[in-house]
Amino acid sequence: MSKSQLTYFYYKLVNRPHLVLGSVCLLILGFLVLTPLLEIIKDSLSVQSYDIAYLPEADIGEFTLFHYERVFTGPLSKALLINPLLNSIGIGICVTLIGVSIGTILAWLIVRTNIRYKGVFGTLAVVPYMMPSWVLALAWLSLFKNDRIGGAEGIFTYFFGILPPNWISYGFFPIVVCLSLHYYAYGYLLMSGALASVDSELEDAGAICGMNRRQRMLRITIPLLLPALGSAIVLTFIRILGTFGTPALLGLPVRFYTFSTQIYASLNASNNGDAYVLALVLIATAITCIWINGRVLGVRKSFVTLTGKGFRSREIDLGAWRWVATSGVALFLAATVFLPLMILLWESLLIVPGDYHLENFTLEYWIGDGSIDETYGEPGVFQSDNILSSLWNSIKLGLSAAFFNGIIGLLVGYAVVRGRGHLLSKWLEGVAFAPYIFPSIAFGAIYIGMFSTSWGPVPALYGTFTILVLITVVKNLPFTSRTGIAAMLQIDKSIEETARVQGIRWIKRMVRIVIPLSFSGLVSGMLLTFITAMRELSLIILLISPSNMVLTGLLFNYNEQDMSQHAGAVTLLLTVIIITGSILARMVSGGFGLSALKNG
Amino acid sequence: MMEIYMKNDSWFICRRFYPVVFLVFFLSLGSAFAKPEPPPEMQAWLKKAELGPYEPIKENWDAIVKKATEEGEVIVYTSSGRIQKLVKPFAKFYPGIKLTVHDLGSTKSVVKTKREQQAGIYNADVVTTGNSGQVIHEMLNKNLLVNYVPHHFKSRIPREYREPLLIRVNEAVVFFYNMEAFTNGSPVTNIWEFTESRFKGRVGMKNPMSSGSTLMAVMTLIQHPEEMAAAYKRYKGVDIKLSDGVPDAGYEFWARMLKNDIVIFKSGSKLAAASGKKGQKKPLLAFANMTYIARNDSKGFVNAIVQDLDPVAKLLYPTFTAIARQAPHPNAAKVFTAFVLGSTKLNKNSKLSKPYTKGASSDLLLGLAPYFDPGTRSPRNDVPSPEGGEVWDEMQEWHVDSYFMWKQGARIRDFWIQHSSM
Amino acid sequence: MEQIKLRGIKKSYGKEMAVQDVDLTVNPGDFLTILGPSGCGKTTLLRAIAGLEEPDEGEIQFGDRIVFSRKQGVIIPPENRNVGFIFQSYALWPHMTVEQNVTLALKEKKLSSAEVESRLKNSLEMVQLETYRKRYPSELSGGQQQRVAVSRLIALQSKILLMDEPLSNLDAKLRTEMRAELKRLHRELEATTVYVTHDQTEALTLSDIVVVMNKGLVMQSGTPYDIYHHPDNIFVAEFIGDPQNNFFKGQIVEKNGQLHLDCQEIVFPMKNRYSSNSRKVIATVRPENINVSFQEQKDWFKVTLKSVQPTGANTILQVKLGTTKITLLQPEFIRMKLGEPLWVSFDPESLNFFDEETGKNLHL
Repeated sequence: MSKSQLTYFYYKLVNRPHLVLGSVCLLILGFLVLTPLLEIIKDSLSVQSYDIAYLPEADIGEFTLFHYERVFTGPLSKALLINPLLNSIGIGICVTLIGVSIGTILAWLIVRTNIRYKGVFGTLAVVPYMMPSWVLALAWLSLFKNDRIGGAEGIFTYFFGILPPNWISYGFFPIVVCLSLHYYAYGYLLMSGALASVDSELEDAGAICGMNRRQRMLRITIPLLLPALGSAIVLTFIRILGTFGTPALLGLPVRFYTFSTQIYASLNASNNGDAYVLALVLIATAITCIWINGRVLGVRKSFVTLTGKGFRSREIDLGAWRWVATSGVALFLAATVFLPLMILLWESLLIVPGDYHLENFTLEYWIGDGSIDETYGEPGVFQSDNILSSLWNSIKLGLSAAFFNGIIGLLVGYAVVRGRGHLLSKWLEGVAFAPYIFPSIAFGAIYIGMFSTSWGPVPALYGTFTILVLITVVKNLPFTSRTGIAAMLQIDKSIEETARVQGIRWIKRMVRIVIPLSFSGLVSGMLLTFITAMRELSLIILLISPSNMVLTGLLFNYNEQDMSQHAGAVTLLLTVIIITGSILARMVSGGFGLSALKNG
Repeated sequence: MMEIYMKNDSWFICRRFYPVVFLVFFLSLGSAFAKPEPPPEMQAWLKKAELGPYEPIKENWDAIVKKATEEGEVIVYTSSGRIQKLVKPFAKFYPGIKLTVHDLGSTKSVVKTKREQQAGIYNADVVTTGNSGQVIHEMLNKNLLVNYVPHHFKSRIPREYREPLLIRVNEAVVFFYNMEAFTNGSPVTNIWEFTESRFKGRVGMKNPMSSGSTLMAVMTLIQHPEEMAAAYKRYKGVDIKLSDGVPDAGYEFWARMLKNDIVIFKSGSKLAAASGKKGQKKPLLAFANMTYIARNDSKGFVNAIVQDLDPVAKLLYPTFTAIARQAPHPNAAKVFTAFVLGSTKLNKNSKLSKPYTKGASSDLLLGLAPYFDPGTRSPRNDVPSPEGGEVWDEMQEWHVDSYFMWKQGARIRDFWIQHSSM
Repeated sequence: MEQIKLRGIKKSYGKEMAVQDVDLTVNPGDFLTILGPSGCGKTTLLRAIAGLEEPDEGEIQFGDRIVFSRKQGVIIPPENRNVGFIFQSYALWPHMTVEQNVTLALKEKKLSSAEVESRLKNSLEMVQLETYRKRYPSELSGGQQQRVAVSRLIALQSKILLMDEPLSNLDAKLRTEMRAELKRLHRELEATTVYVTHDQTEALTLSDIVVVMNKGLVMQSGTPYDIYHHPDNIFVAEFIGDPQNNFFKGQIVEKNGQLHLDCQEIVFPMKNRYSSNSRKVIATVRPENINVSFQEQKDWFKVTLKSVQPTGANTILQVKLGTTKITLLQPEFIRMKLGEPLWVSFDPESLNFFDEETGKNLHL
């Protein structure tokens, strides 16, 4: 290469900071994200130590198709793969349909009609997502359990004297109900954003053509919302496929197994072969969904472009139905938000679990010093060093992961959007989204191996707080990269170009212009990370040490030891913190960002 | 190509051998298999720590305690949550040594230790967990652990409880019934009664796929097909007829239990509550850890143990304790090992009173205190039996051999997966 | 005052050639406008000068400084080119006040705060926005926002000014006002300016040199007078001029010893200087150069009135001669009835003749 060619190449790079940034991100993320995937694939094709029972002559590590044969064609395939997969898909379809419908209706009511108390409803609508998903399941059991699992009476039985039948208490029905009531928040978030951006003028145009309201809805509004709807459906469905807590809790008593419970059971048994093949099936299913979504929607990535001018959004007058709708929504939110929290609170106040008489109430588990012997002498929540230090660790983890993830998501968004059209941009977008489809528990196991050694200047991270942050950041990158991309799309490139021409260098441009303008997008990405990090368990369970014990780990132990009062109190505490964090974040981001400026 | 793994007939061809050699294996566990030589790094560490082949003929316990105090810390991976309760008592006796407990459950203790060591991380000092198949064959025999028994306890612990690996406590899985509902004592006298329609959906057990103790209990029954078949004959008067694809009476029992809609629990304490809580109209019977009988005191349960059951009432489940390879604090690990076995001052005549975790009793029992209940036994032969513990000695007991567990574990898991999914 | 030189600039996006092969020189102190329909490559060229686009080939020089050269492997980034650029959307930073918008870049240049303050004051005064210092862009009108963009340029004291259709978002009255302001700015700053627009009025009123582009090529470069009166080719003749030029297709014939252009219904006399070989020719004549009479004249053509559009100072008349449509422009406010007869004649001096095949001006 001649000197001039070299210098030309150098200048080209210097002129494209997003390219340099994008390549660096891609390399690092590729390592963090694809290495586990490759390891999973490799291990699924090689003999594991568990397999010696079946293949006594084989060498560990040699190539084999044994796992695939066993899972797909062996006598166990029905029990290992087919039934659980059908169950998971069945649950997935039902929950997606119900959840996305609920979310859409709620979004439509809150965004597009003149329902009352919009602000309150809007904030409450996402609260179910902030609680760990199994809280609803626990609440359900407290309410509707029958004598199949014995023990204390369910609340329903206590008050009404009847035992609910098995199909209501456990299995498919309650799993679908609880998951729908948790994940409708996805649908709500995505659809409310889309609905808020649909320009009324587009619908007015339809009215002028003579379409009535129903036709306008069907022919104009809904097609415009299709991209967002498609995203909501795909994201929800994939998430359900991998969800573990609720199906385990509600399915086990009636031996209703889902895909995730089978993966978890295999990993528990150290049967990596089975676990990884199943995990790959899960990943393949997820990729298929995304692909189908892409094909169905075609090139229409998004119809809701913000032109910055002539934007009106008119409310639909519900007339007589206004109060009906308002009370309907209020009741619904009360049931999905307050009821589970009330039940948890109630449980945390009982001396003897299940005894709902007033004399049985106590504040011991909140402020007591541990004199009640049954719970192994564990003091109340506010007195327990254990709980308080775990709480602090959880908050530390949540905040650090949120902070770093927000920044990285923004940088990835910047690199993807500014590099639009290039292969690098597409790959980066894909790699940043990939962690969404990986089962968390597999991630954790593999990271132990990856980070046991040092990589260049980076020391071995195993056992440190850093690796917890790292894995949480990577797992939540799909969210923050999407919000980062969305935020970047809002900023016209001329805003940055004028800074370039005026002589302002890249770092200063990012700090003074790009980041402040995408602030609300940044904050929402950070918030999502904070919420998920606070609730996360399966991702980090293998990586935490007692010094890093987080609240969810403690909760896990309490549940194992059947300390239901402490479990209830800690869950409540966790939820309150998450909600507080969200409200604070809303307040902070409400005052900055493009949206405020557009209205201000 | 790879069809060796699981033809239906090969299942019991291998398996038929084991009951025959079972006794031999069980009694000679220590010398049954040649362990591969520990690798050089481990040899160096063993030498320095004076463990394994480098253990001195005569231990200088004071020197060990001194070195342990210099080390300053001991890190324990445990399957049992009660180890956490030892932090304060341990600090009282060894103020310079900080006890850090990782409460991981039976499967994760093994997984974490294996993964860490595989990655070259030597974080743990002591690993204490059950599941003899995994612990002995996957860990001890692969040099992930080294056995250690404090010398002053060697004479007080029978050989089978300290070789090839030291047992910290022996626990058991038994059947519970509710005293309030079954006022005439145990509702069953033969184990096969549980498979009858009157108990359909009325028996509970922990998930053997996630509970090491329950899995071990399941496998124990499977390892005794002749006894199970004989018990059936005694009960029904005819030979047992095996279901399709089921190799013998041991497997048959579990196939029938699953078909009889046995209720699977995730949590042992909820299982104990299911059978033991007062005021239930139709309480379950529970196949549960015997240690939960202590909840009759703490939570007011009314569980009773089925003491006389044909052919067996009690399925043994040992919990081992060993020092991890290249432990960073080997001497502290030794001190901790001695601690969990109880004080040297403890003997058959010691006066112990509830609550065992406090006061003079705690000072004598030390690490044994949280485990001192009728459902748990120290491996030592000089420890008094806890209040109500006579029942332990009176029950017919079976064990499962660790080699059987290790070799057959996968097949039994598969059997369970297949039959519990139907 | 700096010279801008572009040599051999080529730029394509995928299969599309945005700029085909452009040579351009802007003399120091000139106000040069690049004019053309959308998609002609004018904005690409402007951005290439600024450094916001990288041509595939060619060379760009500011005075002696090479800022871009494919051959020599030099691409000076926009941050270092020291040009002033006004975007069509003004690109003000919405989260900053007017003051911050103007001074952010100044602070980068490590000027003393006294200097920064004085430049800020000066530039705001020049655009009459001193009292709007603390306002945010969302609180300003379109015209005010544009002036803020302009004041940024003033504050930076750039010697090269690049403007990308800066007036297109303003209403007509404001546009006229701001046109004058921009020209004044150019003179006061003693800058070399390149201005891009699709509006020919702007181009003709503002520029020293107008460059007409189409489909990535320069069609003609010259003074507004030349462009207007002596278009080099059919495209320029057609593009420039409002109302549009008149076109007549025809053949050269000899009549009575003189050359005429025979367009069937109309026959134009030509100067005898014609010596080229082509026979098929297009003649153009500007609407205002056609003589109009309301009385019958000898040898004039009779036409019928089809539409009358008084524009205040002028009137546009559309007439028909047989099947040929002709546009006329008269410098007065005319009221006439449709269908009324008129008479027109053509002055040979004002005609331009173009080769029908090549489109080039035959310069007769």
